[in-house]
Amino acid sequence: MPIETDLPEFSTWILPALEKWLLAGLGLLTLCGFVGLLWCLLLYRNHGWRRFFGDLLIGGFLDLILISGRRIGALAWLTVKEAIGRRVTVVVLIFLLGLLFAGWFLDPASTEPHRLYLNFVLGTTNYLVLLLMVFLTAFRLPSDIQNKTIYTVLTKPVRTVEIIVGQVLGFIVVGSLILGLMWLVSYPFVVRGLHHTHQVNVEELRPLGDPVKLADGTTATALQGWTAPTWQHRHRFFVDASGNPRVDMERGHYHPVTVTRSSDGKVSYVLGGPEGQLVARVPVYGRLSFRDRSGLDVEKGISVGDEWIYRSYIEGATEAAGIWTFENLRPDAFPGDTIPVEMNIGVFRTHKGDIERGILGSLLVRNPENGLTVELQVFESKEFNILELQIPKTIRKFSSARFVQRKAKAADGSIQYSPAKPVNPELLSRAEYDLFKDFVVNGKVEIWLQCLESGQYFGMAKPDLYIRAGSHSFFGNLFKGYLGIWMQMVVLIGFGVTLSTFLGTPVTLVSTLGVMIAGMAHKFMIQIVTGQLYPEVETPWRAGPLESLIRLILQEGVMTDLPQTTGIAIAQAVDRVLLLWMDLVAQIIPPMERLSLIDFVSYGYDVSLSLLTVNAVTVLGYLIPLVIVGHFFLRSREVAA
Amino acid sequence: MSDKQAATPTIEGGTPKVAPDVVIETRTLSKVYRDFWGRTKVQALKALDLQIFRGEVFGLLGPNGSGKTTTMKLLLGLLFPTSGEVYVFGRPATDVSKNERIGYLPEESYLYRFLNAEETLDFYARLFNMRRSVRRQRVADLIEMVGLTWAKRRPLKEYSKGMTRRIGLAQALINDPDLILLDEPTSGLDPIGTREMKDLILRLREQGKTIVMCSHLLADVQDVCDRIGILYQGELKELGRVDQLLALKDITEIRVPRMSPEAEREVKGVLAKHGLDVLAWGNPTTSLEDLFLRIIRESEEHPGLRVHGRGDGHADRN
Repeated sequence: MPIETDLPEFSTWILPALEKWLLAGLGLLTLCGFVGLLWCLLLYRNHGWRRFFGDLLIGGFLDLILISGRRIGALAWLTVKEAIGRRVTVVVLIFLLGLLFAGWFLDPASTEPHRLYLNFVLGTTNYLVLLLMVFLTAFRLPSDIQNKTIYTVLTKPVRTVEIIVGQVLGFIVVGSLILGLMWLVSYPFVVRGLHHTHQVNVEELRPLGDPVKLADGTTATALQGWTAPTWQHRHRFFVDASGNPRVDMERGHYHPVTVTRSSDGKVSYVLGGPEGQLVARVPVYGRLSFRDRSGLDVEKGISVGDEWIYRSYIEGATEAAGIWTFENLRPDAFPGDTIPVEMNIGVFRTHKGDIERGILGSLLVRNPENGLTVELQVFESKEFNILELQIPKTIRKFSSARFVQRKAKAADGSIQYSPAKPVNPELLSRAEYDLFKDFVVNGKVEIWLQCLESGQYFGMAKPDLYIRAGSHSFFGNLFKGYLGIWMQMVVLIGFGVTLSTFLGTPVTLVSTLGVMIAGMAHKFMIQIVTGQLYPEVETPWRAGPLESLIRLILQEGVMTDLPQTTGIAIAQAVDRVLLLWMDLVAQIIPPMERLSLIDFVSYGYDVSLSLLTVNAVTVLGYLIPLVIVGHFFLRSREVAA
Repeated sequence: MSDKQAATPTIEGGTPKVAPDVVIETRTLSKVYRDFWGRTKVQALKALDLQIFRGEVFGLLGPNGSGKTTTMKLLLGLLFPTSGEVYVFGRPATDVSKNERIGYLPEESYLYRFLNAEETLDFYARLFNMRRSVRRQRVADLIEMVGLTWAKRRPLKEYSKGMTRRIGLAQALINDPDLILLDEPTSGLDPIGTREMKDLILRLREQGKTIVMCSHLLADVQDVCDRIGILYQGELKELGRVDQLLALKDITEIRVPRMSPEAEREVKGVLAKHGLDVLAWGNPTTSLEDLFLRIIRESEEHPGLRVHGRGDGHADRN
């Protein structure tokens, strides 16, 4: 899965996020106000109070109200004209040149060529556009101030907020045009780059199984064989007894087959281009809970030590299970005969066994109300492989039907059962079940996963199993991938323009670049300042830079205690202040990696509207305060000094 | 002007007000430039008290570093006063809305060199929130007024200094301002351009505009300004009407057309009789600017006219 943390749902995300944003905004405003007042008093002495409260605060807020669209439009237009004058189109040319020569380096014979191509195209675009914006924003306002062209603008009835918004909008227009061009060029590049086909030699197909009697009375045998290799892979090829050909999935794709018959009755098979790799699956996620080895409901599975904390594990050959509860399932959302379920289960082996063979697991469906449960399928799970299973709407094939009670420990220590009464025995003896009538209650159903092998473990997190509710257009999803880059670009523009209101070109350049790099490593930064870098350590290790340096010099590991000398105590005290500062910086730095949607596109998952909305609101959440801060900085600045 | 000079500011309800015909007023205006640590680098302006009235051409004079440009920037709100107050149209200079009625021509025409003349003026017109139809008309009129119609589509980076100066002037007039601030308006202009600029300043005054200019070229200031202020080391050293300030009250000048030798002898006799020394007697000279403009005018009227050197340092024109 591209995102291995819980994807935020807009409806549940917005209120806590808004609360945090308002608090942070208030804090930022207070801090800026305090620093601004000190600055005014230092520069203007007795006049400082009036300058701060009259000119800056009241005047500044009035300016925010009195903005004019026409002036903003003019300033945005100027920014676009200047960017064009600075030959931003060169970036598009570099991109096109990159695509021309990319064929030399991108190996279509790799295991996942579509991911390689998409990561290259989107990654190149991402870095090119962000770097371009870093440079453009760093030069725009400082060079205006240096060349004094700002004089002729500020002596017009222009509010500084209009300058900031105009510049931000101008850069957004420039970036959008470039991104739009890249999007249109990259689609045919990827599709053409991945295009290939295979030959099928009918003579090499071998019979599979016994002859089967057909409806017209004749008998025929199914055939199997291999396609000819292209790009270091080949597909297993089947022709059923009725003569219908099928190509197996290999390296994330298959090929449609056309049957042709020559005049002398000879059959040949023509394979089309690859399909199934450039997709945008629409996953429906459920809520994950666990059952421990004794069958008791628990919030989390078990930790297997050094494995990644993100996944919880269930023990094999016990009652332990991972339980996904899906809601709002409607039959009309799944037009076919089956509901596709895809999963990517982590495997932790306590003994190696046959490493080529996967670990066996079981998929069950349970009615959350009456406890009716059928074991649908036994599957083999391998590490890092996406497994596709189908749950038929009419369940005829199942290995067992039973009544399963959920057991949970109440606050008083007693065990509570759900449901309390067993299911009607008649239900357990049926040969056929209807998924939506017998298992889905008010759109709610449970899917259970169990590991069947003793001493082995399955690791799982919420996004590891989902119901695939169809696919969306890949072209559209590629657009969403570019939208992710666009959002990162907008945040970076906001930072660049704001920083340029009080810094010179070189410092703005380095600072904006720093924001970009730190933003891309945002998660890592948060992990450092929250001490979550080593999650398996019980107490978060939260040493600051000085203690880290001391440990490096003394060659002490993170788990050992340092001697309690005065020097180390001072270093730790300083570290606490530094960590507070780092924490603040980490909170301010935009989560660029979260805004990036490249992995969704390359792994073939549709970017949901909810995620897009969350990201868009996040972008706005950064942009609004940045514009306001930039406005006040520029307003307080004597540009002619 | 004396009645105007007598106008005094009043304070009503805590809000500073200035007399209705006062366009600019500074009250003990001071500006100190400080370094990053807040230490004084230089005191550029010291307690400047100044009033500039509606419809006059005011000249700010002074050597380099005297505080002229600082004053101009304080009036425009590009700098903030360290102490004292500055009002333009009765509003603090930091109030952006005052710029609705101001036109500013900086010393160098700080314009965007990648734009052409039309784009430049249209851009500045949009900053005044003008509608498209008004903008179009205004831009066309101003380009014609400054004589750049033939070059209106050329980017400014291809313009000569004089052309840039003219388009700079056009942008300063884009909003038909009531107050025009001109920083070295004739800098970089040839004598014809200088004359045109001065004529324009006088025309603008006739239209009732208030003009404040600072210049090193004293002759230009003398030609167009009604009043001047002389700054030196940040302090206002002189303020008043040009004709009054320049008048030498203990010397009398008589100008007479075609005086005969007899009349000259008699006049000198009368002066001697009254015990008056003649300090200077002769024909007044024209200014070099007038000479230059006359030659250019004649050359345009008679294209074949040229000068032949006589070898004695003079020339015959034919």
